[in-house]
Amino acid sequence: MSSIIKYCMYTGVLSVLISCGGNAPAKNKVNAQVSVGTPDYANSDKHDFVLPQPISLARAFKDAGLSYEAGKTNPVGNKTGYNVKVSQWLNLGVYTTDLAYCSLNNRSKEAREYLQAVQDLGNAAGLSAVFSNRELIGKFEKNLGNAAGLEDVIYDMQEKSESYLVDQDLQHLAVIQFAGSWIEGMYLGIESARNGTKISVALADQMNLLEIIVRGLSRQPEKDKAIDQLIAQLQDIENVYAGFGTVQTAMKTPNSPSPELTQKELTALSHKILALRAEIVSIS
Amino acid sequence: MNFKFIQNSLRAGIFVLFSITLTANTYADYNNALDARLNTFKQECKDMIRPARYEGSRITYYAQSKENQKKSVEVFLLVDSEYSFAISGKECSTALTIRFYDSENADKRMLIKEIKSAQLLNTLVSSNDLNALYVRKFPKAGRLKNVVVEYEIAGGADKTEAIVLVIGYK
Repeated sequence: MSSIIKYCMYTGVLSVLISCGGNAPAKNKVNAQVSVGTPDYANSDKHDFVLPQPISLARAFKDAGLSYEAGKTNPVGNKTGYNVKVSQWLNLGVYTTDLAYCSLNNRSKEAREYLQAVQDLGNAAGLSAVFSNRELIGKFEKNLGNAAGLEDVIYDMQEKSESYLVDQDLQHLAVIQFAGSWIEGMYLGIESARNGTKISVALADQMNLLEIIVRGLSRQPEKDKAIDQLIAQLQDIENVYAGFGTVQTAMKTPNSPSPELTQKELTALSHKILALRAEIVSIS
Repeated sequence: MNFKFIQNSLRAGIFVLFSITLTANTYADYNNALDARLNTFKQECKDMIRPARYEGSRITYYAQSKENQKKSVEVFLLVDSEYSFAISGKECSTALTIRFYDSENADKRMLIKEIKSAQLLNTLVSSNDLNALYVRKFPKAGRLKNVVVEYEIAGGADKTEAIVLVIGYK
């Protein structure tokens, strides 16, 4: 019997030694310059995708002629009203687009307020490791009044946020955040189009992202009623859009540029987008 | 007799437990080492896209098999500017072919560019080059607004490998 006890002791000690001898997992190095996270080592999806940065959504609209209009963004005061996880991540996306919108239009005061909203909601959602970064905040403050500088800081912030989520194997949450960013961008674009700006081609360009967003939301590891509802609403928008005459004509010709929507189509799309955006930003 | 049986069962149980622990640790060590190498390759790709701004990245993992296999990553080029695609095939030990398409739909898509023997190398491709090739092949097309990067990986040894893609825009 004593030999068994000895055997157990040797095995235990050896196991502990082996466990301690491995390399430190890269995924725990939160502030590492680059991180690759905890992947599915067996296999990635056969058809994967990379979502653009939320600021790229705003940049594309800005390049298409979207100008700043006060009072359109989600009020920063709402930030404390998002207490459910899905709502927090969606509105983190909404505020990120608002931050980009203000920064690209050189609205320093508003940009600072939206940075604070993104920080607060980011901390609430569990991203304090990203948003408590003093260096990042310092860089932002230093670049207030310099639109290009602010844009660089926001790209930097998004890169750190993405790195952190990959690190912690939370990439699925980035899709929820992106859905919020996308709907806010579309909302701001539609509001601008209603005021006569010709950005309907930019709206059609961004509609191409919808299928990917839905695919990403459908891959959430946990079942969530709010996500299922969001998917249904986004698919509804997708179906309405696919039924437009200009879209169907464009789809007949492979590789054709995005269509310019008619006023009637734009109105139909607006109804859907505005209703969903209002639901997302409403506070509980 | 009973005592002997218990003793042997315990020995066998401990041996199995020890083997599982050893295997799990070896597997974790392999993955940690893979992670470390991929970190390096990702940083190399990030350096390659400079001065472009970092737009995103994707690491495509695959389990090597005897058969050729294909994996793809779709990328959106929202901004009318030059995008850079840095791809590291340094962790790919068998023949790697990279193809750029204008769509994921296999029936409608058009091959824009193909790069053969990209294994063990870093490769940089610009959207300006892709756009020029695209317009040459399809004059009516506008600029590329999404690109599908497809990897065709030749069959090989039974192990996990990965390909790194980093995207930037100027």
